[in-house]
Amino acid sequence: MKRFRGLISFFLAAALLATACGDSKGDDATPSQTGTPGTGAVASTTSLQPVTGGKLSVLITSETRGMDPIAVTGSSGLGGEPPRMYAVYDALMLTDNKTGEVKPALAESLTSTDRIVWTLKLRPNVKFSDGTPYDAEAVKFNWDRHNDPALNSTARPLIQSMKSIEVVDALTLKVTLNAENGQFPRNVASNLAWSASPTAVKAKGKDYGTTAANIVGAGPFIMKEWTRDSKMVLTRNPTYWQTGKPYLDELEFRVMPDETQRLNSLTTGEADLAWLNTLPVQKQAKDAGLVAQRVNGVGASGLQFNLTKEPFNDARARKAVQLAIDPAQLAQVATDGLDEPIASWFPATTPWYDAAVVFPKFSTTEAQKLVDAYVAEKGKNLEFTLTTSDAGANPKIAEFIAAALNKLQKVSVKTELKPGAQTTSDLRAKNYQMIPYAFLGADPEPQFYDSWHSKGTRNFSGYNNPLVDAALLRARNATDTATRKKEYTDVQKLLIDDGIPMIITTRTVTALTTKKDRVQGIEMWEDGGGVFFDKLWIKK
Amino acid sequence: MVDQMVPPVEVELVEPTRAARNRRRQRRGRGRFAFGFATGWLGLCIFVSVFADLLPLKHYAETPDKGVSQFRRKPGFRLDEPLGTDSVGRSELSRVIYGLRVSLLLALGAVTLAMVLGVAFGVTAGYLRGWFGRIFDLVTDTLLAFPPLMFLLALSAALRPGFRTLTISLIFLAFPTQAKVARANTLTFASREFVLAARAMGAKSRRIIVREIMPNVALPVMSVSFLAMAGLIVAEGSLSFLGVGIPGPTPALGAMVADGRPNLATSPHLVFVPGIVLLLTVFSLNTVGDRARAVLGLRELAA
Repeated sequence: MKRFRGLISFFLAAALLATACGDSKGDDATPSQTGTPGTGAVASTTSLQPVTGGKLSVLITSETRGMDPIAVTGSSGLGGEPPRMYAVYDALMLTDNKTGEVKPALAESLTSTDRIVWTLKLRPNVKFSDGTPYDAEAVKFNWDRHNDPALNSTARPLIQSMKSIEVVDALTLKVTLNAENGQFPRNVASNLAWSASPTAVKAKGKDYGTTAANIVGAGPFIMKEWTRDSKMVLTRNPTYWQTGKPYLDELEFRVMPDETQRLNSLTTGEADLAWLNTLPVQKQAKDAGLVAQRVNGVGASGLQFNLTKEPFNDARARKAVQLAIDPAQLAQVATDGLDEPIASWFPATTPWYDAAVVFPKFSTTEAQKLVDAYVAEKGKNLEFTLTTSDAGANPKIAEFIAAALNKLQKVSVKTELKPGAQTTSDLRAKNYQMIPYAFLGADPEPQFYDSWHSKGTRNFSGYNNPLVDAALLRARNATDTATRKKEYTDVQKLLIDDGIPMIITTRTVTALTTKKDRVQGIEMWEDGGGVFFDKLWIKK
Repeated sequence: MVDQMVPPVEVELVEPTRAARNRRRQRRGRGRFAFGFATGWLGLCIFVSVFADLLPLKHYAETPDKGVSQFRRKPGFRLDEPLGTDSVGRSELSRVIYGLRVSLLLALGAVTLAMVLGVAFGVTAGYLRGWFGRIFDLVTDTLLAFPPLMFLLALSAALRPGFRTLTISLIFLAFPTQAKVARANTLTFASREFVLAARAMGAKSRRIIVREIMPNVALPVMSVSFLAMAGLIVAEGSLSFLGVGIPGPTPALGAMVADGRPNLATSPHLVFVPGIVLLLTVFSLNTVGDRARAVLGLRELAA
């Protein structure tokens, strides 16, 4: 059981880190209007009319912990869990990956005048696939469930930030928060997008969503069969609220954790659509003539310092580590040289980039000076263990960083390899000195707040800077981009001054890949964590 | 003349015909080259493994100081990094040598320990038979029935990966074969006249096992050890390839192959350099092992 919990937290880390919001599904967006986010090519720009029918086989990156909205709360996660949640449940609201705006879906609106009392309006005449209404009662039931400590939901802190959830009428929910939060819709889209039929949940209790039986949502598809770690088959929901959708008869998800294997299956035509999340494999796909729709997320991955333990409770130690690593080499190791070396917190393509706020320049002499000062004061060498997970390029990155640091005098770094689930629980328990940490999303909210605010739900470093807290709060309560940018710029400066964390890459690039023109109507939400399955169709 | 005294069918068994002798000579001629190569390669491997620290090599974990030009260099005829560099800019030559050293040390250690355990249990089981023999059969058959990779993966998942874990896991892999060879030989020798003679002269079981049987069993068991080592090196390579072998930055051949796999199209040497070293080493051990088995007259136990 303990192991299982570790696994859960691992997937949480991978999946939960973003804002989600909504693409307006009310409008008549046809596949022909699909835009070109990011830098990649577009799968469908033709003015073809959607064709109904066909079966689509999709390769996803990991098996889900469960189909219960309590188990999978997030809507970001690079092709792991959220896609299936959307297919079965649809979403209250999700983020448009082009504008970054929060757009309602099953909800009609989520508004507030004072940023404390929020009114959630639902779309009329939406029904779960068991015929029960998708109404305010149902949403409240789902939200209340997150608050049950026994269910261990990661959305619980968000629910606890609410003073009350009241059902005003069948389609209206009034939420009163404990404190102002101008970004509440992002928080909802990020963590509370999925709702299951209360009737179905009550019937199964805590076992809901662990097997294919009786999984009931209001999404475009309904569960047909599910073999864990192998495949999940969904069929068209005949009572879906958007008339004429989905276009597909059947949707099949197959779990394939290996990136290269997904690419191979796609090339041989075993599958129609696959998520490819690393630059080298994306390049291979492009060379093989596959077409990808890419989404650049606002996220960062790197290594977290534990500020509650030696040696990284000392800013000199943190800064020495940052200074001693050549960003060009780091980019080479982490992405095979396919990504630019990082210089700032956010890529220049995002609104949050400020050319004046950059990381300190690589310099081993400066690093050595800091180490010498540290050693002189503490009377002992700078020694620590770099814990890393066995996933992807992590071991390589850790070995590289350790080797680079060990070239300095009076520094001794050991690396320690652990399963991903273990590093996640170590991170959460602050049982580390330096460990991988990442957040994903389409907007700094809510991850930036959660990671660096002293009371943030994902503050696993023990970082506490009142100036950062204040700036993050101001950013959260601002609604215009200019003010938010100013506040986030301040936060970036402060973080750089404090030397935290050690960033490796500031871009998450997800590509949903298909053989040329085969799958049409690809529109992704958020950071590319999912695709609107109701809009997909197969070209005959 | 022997020919006249026994029926012709049996003659063939005792003394091969001229044609058969020629065939065998030809095979031996071909085998001689392979055997020579194999001993040469193993000698080289042992030499570089033993003297790795004294050779003028870069440290296996050393990365380039600055810039990216030293990353994934291709092999070439030059003094500086003749085998190229890996995706972190470390010397392939140094990593291959140290990786080989780790592999050989692991395989040798595991085989030796498995041999000690195998002889101890195998001889006891063969000599005592009875309930001990039955339990022995059950245990060894069970171990043999396990798919080896599954078994190793399960062990690596349960224990913390490292040199000790890996050695223990590999012992489990080598033990049943060694023990079975020991037991089979014990069964044969236990019924031989000299054992009977020793017993008649009043020797106790312990003395018979240690003085009469063990020396005879040890040679055949040792002769299968080369083959066992080859198997263990492959097993260790597979585990390292899957990322549950020796943790970095200590190099391992399997891990090096795994590391190079994503770049197979652009930097094939990252896969081929450690791959070929692994191949040659396993081939050499197999060749030498086959010869050792043949010389020690163990053909009937070949399976």
